[in-house]
Amino acid sequence: MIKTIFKQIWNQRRTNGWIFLELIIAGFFLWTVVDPVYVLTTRHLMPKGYEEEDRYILNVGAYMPGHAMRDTTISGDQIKEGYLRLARLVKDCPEVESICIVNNASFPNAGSWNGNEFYPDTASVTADRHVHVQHYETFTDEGSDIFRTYGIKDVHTGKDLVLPEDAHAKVRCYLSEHLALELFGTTNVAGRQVYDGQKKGFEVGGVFKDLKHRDFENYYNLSIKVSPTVWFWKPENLHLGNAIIFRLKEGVDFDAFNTRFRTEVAPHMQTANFYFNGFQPFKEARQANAEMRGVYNKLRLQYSLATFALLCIFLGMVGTFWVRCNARRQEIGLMRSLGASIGTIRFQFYGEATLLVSMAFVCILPALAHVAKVNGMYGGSTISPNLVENLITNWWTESIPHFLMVSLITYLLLLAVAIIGTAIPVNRASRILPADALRDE
Amino acid sequence: MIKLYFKQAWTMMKQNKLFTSIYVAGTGLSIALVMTLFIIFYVKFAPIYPEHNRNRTLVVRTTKRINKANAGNWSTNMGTSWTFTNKMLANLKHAEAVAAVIPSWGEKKQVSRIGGKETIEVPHVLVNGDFWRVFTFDFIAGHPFEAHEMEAVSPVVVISESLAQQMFANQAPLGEKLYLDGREYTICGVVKDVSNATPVTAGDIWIPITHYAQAVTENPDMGLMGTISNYLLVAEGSDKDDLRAEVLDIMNKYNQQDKEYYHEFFGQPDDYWMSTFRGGWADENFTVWSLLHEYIYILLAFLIIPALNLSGMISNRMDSRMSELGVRKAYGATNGQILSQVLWENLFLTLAGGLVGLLLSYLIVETASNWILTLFDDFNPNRNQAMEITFEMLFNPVVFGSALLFCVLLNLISALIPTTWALRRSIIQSIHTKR
Repeated sequence: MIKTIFKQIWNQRRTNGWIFLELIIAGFFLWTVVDPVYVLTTRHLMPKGYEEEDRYILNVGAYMPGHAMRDTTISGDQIKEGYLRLARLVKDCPEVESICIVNNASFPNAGSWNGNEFYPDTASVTADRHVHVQHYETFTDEGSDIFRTYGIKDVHTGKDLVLPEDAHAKVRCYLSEHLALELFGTTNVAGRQVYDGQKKGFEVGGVFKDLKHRDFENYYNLSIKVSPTVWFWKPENLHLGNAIIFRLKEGVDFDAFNTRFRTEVAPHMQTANFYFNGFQPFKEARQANAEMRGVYNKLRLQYSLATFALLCIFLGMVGTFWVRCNARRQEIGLMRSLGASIGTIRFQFYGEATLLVSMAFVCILPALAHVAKVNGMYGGSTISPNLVENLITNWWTESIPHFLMVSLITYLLLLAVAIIGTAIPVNRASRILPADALRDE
Repeated sequence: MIKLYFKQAWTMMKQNKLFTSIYVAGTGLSIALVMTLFIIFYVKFAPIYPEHNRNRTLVVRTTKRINKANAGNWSTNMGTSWTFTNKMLANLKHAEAVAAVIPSWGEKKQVSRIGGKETIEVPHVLVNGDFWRVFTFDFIAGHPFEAHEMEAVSPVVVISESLAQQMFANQAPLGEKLYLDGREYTICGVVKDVSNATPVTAGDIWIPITHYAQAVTENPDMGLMGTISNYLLVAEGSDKDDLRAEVLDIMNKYNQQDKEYYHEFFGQPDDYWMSTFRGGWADENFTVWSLLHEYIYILLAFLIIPALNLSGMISNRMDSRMSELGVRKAYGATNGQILSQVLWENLFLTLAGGLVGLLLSYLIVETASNWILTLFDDFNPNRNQAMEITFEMLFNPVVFGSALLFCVLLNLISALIPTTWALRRSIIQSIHTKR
């Protein structure tokens, strides 16, 4: 059968030449389009390391200098007390499971990004054993608990990390799994010391599962510093330097909570020049961040380009096989009259399409490998270019598996669309009655 | 003769419905995507309201400040300082006006009527007096604030027509007062709404930049870095190169005088179109080629892949018309005449596909208007803002002319080779194919 199919392809080489050339060029183009989609999608599918459901950011507004509503007599301490009152009001809501107060770079998809260098011991501060880390900072005021609120899991137990009872009295650092391994080679590091670039030491409180700060990004080494009390260098901007995050109890209807909160709680939040300025779900913050950083635009563009290439192939295959089926009506009639089933005829045409796609793809593979080697594969990132090299890579984004996966996906897409394009004329032709087909013979 | 070719093409269209459908669909797909791409860039580059002077405008935005003693010690900003605009770019011989703008970048401010309880959140733009000369706003009422009002920090603002409607539905807004950031401002002008498709000028309220001390106060730690984007309108009788040279000269002199720091401007002032490609950050590798090669690659794909598709179909059709061509040749038709006939026939089909494609591109742009215009942007601060697509963005001679040009190009690419190959056969061979 295969021999016959090869013979058919060769006999029709002039017609096949065009579709073959189209498959080569469209296949190459499709591969370059699929590559970013593959990378961004695999990153998106990686576990986030926190829970998104029922988590919200409380937006705090403030009357700034010059505003008519601003109380200019308020002191820095009163501003802080006012801010903590906001957190307390949220915490005391019966629908709320937990809250946390964090600095404004310390929640997933926050606009800001803080970093630092970490060392496993003081002797290595000047040596090469430093690891660049992203840095979250949280505070323990008002029972603030980042682990419970975000749903950050202990790497050993798989359950939410638990803050020790003396968390309000002692600063501790919690390390992501990958960071602990890089610094110490093990995740059993609770109680040990880590040092920042200024040689300041912190006790390690525990190790949590890797957390992704931005969707569509790889993991970055992350540390979470738990400090006793909230601060900001400019007290009147406490709300800009920090954020209040809360988690609703399971089963609580957000819309009902939102309505009740706005009527019953929000008016009490008009304190120390602050006011309630709405909620933002974690999910919405994630989507807004990806939108702002052009990730959704990139995906939209790639999907559009892929659709274009596949539609062209579809039209090309329909056109080519329609003409071919018409030209081979007599042959189909003869085969049917000699006992060939509809399935056999379809199989032969599908075989031709599969072979065409496969041969075209084999032809472009060396060119693709060359392009991948010379230009590199897609590695677009939304973090600062000088930090990209610190992103934690995965086996599926290593060169060879990455290349093979993108090639496989491209091949399967090409093949699927080519078979669908072939199926329409072939199904029509294979149902023809032998007598009708042989009338012209 | 051409009329005859079109008549024949029409008859063949009716006879070969499948061929026609696939041909028109293939062409339509290609033209739709090329035109969508074209409309995106037309809106970015072409002179449209209120940026009719784009072709006469140069832009300076990104700066990098480098320590002369230690090149590794540097910082960069997306804008320049007030000193740069107000002092260094003042009195340029080749510039008619220098607009200083801090766009809203999606941020909103609360405004309310005096004594009113309702507040409205609106995007705001901070501008200087020259802004109104560089950009061509249509004033429905009143006038822009002048440079002296800006310097005197007069509490005046210009608002958009829709904000005026929202706040003062039943009365003339001119001279009315509103609260913005707790301060009282008087409305001195009302302008026709601006689409978010022009993100530099888009907003609902335009405020004198001097009201924001942070924007206009000199910070010795920042040098010429700041938050201001500068739009320089080339003076009548001068050209861009004159103005560019004048600005570069000023920059060079400043760099020579400053003993501690050197300011890098990355080849700016840019032409307006080029400035739209600069993202939020300084990019030392920013060149025309670095930004164009991706678009050229996509454009070629939009043309070549469908062209191959169409070539295959034309090749098949030429095979079926071989005997007809043989007969025509036998009666004296030259290869040139036959080639011309096939090209005209195909052009008819291509134009039909082009029309479908153009309509499809309008549909794409209209239905995806909230994101399609920023499709190629890495940094999209104006996310989820409704982008009004105006009549002038879609229906203009440049768009129609380009659509026609792409149709002709696609027709030539797809029909030329298969037809030429088919015509290489002798008369005998051609007629013989019928048997």
